Amino acid sequence: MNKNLGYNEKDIVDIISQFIINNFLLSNQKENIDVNISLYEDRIVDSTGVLEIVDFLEEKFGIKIEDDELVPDNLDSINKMSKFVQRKIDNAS
Amino acid sequence: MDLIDSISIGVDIVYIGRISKNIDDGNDRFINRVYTKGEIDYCKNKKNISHHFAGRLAGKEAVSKALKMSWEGGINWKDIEIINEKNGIPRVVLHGEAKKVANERKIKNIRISISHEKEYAIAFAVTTGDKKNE
Repeated sequence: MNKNLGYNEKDIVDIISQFIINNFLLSNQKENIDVNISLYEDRIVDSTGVLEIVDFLEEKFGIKIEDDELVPDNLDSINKMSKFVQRKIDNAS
Repeated sequence: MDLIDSISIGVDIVYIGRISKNIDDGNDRFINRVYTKGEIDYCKNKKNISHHFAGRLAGKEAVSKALKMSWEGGINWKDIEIINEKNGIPRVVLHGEAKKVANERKIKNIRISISHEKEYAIAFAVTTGDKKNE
């Protein structure tokens, strides 16, 4: 089921960025977040954080993420997450 | 264990509040993605449910570190199952990719210890195996 066909690419980037800012960044990191940095390698998100992000993406965008999709190519940066979500939405429509 | 064995260790700590937040919001997605049915039944029968789910998650992460697993091939947290013996001692049961990795590395034994306090759960895992395959 896809209940979020109205999101464009910028909406998705903004929504994911806000979630990362609200849940993982320290107050002095919240300005100028880089959508291309590796959240895992830069120790912004840990393994539990990956699970929290996946839960958020499924709930917010109405998508289903499989275990074999929990890979850095899909989830390691805000940009990669956004493109991954966009593909999932496109494939479901 | 003898002198030719290799040892690998892994440790992880989980803030229990993060687990509470994910399991108290009324959806089971987080639980069903991470835990096996046996683990869910075990934790839900405990007084402090979040403490036990957090301990299990720390345990899974500690084992994955000891096995030197990466997330390049995807993560199935249910592949690392932690059950309890009748005397309460936790024991690791591997499935799927985790079992494959352990077999490839000739892991002979995995031991784990889990503890939790008011705010944090921590787990420590040790694997022993054949040094030739380290």
